[in-house]
Amino acid sequence: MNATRMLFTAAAVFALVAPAAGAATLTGLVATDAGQPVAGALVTLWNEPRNRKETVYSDAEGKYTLQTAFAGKVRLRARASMYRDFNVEFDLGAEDAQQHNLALVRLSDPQEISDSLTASAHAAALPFPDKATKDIFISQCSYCHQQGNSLTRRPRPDAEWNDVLWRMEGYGAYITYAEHRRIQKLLGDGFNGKPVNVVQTAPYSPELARARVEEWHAGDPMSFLHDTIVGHDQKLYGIDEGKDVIYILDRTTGVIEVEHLPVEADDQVGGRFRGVRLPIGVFTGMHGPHSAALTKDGTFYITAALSGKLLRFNPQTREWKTFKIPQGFLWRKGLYPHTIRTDQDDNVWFTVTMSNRLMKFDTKTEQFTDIGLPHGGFLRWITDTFMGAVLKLIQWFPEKNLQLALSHHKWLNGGHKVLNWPYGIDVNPVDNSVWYAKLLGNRIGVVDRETLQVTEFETPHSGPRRMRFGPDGILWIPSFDEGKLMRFDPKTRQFETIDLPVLSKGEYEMPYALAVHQKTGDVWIAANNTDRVLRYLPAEKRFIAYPMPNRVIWFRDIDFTSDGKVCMSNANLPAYAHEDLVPAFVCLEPEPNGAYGR
Amino acid sequence: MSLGKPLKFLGRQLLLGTAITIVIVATGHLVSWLIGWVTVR
Repeated sequence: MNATRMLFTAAAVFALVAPAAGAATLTGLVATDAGQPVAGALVTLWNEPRNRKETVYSDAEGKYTLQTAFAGKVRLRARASMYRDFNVEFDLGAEDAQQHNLALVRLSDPQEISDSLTASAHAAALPFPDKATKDIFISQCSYCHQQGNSLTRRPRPDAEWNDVLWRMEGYGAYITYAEHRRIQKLLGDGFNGKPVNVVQTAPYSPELARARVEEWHAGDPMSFLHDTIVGHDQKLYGIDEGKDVIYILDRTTGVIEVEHLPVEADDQVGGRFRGVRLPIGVFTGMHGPHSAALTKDGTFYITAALSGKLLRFNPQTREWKTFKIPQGFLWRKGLYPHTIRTDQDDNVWFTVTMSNRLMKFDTKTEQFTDIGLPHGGFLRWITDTFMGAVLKLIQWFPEKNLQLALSHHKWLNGGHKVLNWPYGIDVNPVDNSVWYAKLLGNRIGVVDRETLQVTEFETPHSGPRRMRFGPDGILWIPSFDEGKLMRFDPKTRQFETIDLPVLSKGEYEMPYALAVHQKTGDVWIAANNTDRVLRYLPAEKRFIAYPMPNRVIWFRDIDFTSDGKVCMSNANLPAYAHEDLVPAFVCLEPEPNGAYGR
Repeated sequence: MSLGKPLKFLGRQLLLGTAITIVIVATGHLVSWLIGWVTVR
C-alpha cells in the first residue's frame, strides 16, 4: 500500500460537528491513489443489517455528500469502472457528520479487470459465427437474465451446456435444433474462463452529482419481483411472479409487508402451464402475477400469467376479487396475460402474450372484451390456434415439457418465428388510443376503440418491448434485440431511431423497461446489459447514464413517485445472480429534495 | 339404429389421425434435427 493510499485509509474517519437533526452526513473525496479525483464514482452506504443501501455519485472534483438516516455499524464503499472497490466500516451516530476520503486503485490484473466488467463486455466477446446466431442469442437467450455475468459465464463442459439449453428451451427459449447446436458451441467456446480485457468508459454527466439511489432488499434468492408499481399511498408494490405474493414497501419506514394472493378451487401450481417445467424453486405459485395497473381510486388490476385470471386488489381493505379470462374454442385465449395499463375511462387493457390477443376489462360492468390480433403468417396462425390445445394436452403430464415434442417451432423448424408475443401496451394520453408492441412479431399496433379494428406497423428494429407514450403523444419503443430507442409519431406514422450508448466498442445494450415521465418528458430506460439506467432528454437529444450500485440489474418496469423518484425492482431470473443475491426495490432520485418533475 | 358402427368408424378415424400426426411430427423432428447436425458440426 503506497503512502497516498495509507493517508486516505488512515484519514478515513473524522467525526465532526453535528449536522441537521435526524440525519447523519458523510462527506469526502473520491480519488485515485495518485491523488487524482474520480468523477461519477458510486459512493454507497450500507445499513447495519446490510439489507439497505444508499448511494450518491461523486462530482467533477471527486467530492461527495451523503445524508442518511442509517446509524450503527455501517459500511461505506466507493466504486468506479476500472478501479478496485474501496470499503470501510465504521460506527455512525444518528446525527454525526463524518468525513471519509476514499482511495481507488486502478485495476491492472487481467482477471480482476475482467471480473469487474459488466455482462455486456463478456457477451460481446463471444465468438458469434454469424449475425443470425447473435440475433437469436439476444432474442431467445436473454429474455429473463443477462448473459455474461459471473453466474452465466461459468465455463462448462459441452454436455452441460446442452443440458442448460434444453432447460432453457423448457423455460421458453424458442430455438430450432440448429440454433441449439450453434448456441451450445458458442457458449462452450466463448465462456472459457479466460479474462476479457476491454476498457469500458462511461462519460460523466454533471447530473450524476445531484442524484441519489436507494435500495431495499425484498424477498429471498428465489424471489422474482417482476414488476413494481407505485400505489396511491406512494408505497411500492413489488409483484413476485413466482411465489404469488406482493411485497409492499413503505419507503418512509423501510417496512416491507407481504400480501398473499387468493387461491380458488380451480387454481393449481403452474396454472395453465403446469405441463411445463417452470424455473425450479422460483415458480411455486398458481397465479404467476406479472404486471399491475391502477384505476383512479387506487385499485390494482393485476394480470395472473399462469392461471389466466385478472386479479383486483384493494390496497386499503386488502380485499381481492378474481376474474377468469374466457378461454374460448381450443382453450386458445387467456394464455399468459401480460402487461396491463389503464385508459382515460378507467378501464384496463392488457396483452395476452401467448394467445396473440388483447383484452379490455370494463371495470364498471366487469366484462371482458377480446380482440384477436393479426397472425402474421401460417406458422404463427398455427401457434395462435393450437397453443391452448397443446398446453391443455400436456397438463396430463405435469412438468414433463412435452410442448417441446409437440411444438412446430421444433418439428417444422420454425424457431421463434412461429410467435407474435404481444407484450408492451400503453394508452396515448392525447387521444386515449390503445397501442401495443409485438416482441417477436416486430410490430406495433393500434386498436380502434369503436370498431376494435387493429392496424399494425412493422418496426424498423426487432424486439419492441415495453413501450410508453410521452405527454405529447410520442410513442417511445425500446428495441430489445438491437439495443435501439425508437421514436414513433402516431400522427405522421414515422419512426426515428436513436442509438443507445454502450460502454466499449462492440458491446450491445438490451433495453427492457421504458417509462416516460409525464411532466418532464424524460424517457427512462433500463439498460439491463450494462447495469445502468438511462435517461434520455428528447429536447436535448442527450443521454444521462446512471450506473447502478448493484452488479447485475434486470429492471422490467419503471414507475414514478410523486416525490420525484424513479422506481423499479431488480428482477433477474434467478435473483441469486444479483450481486446482493436477492431482489431489491430500487429508487433513483435525479434531483435532490424531490425536485424532479415538481 | 345402432351407434356401434359409427362409433367404431370414428374410433378408427381418430386412431388413424393420431398415427398420421405422430408420423408427421416425428419426421419433422428428425429432419429438423438432421438440418442442425449437418449445418453445425
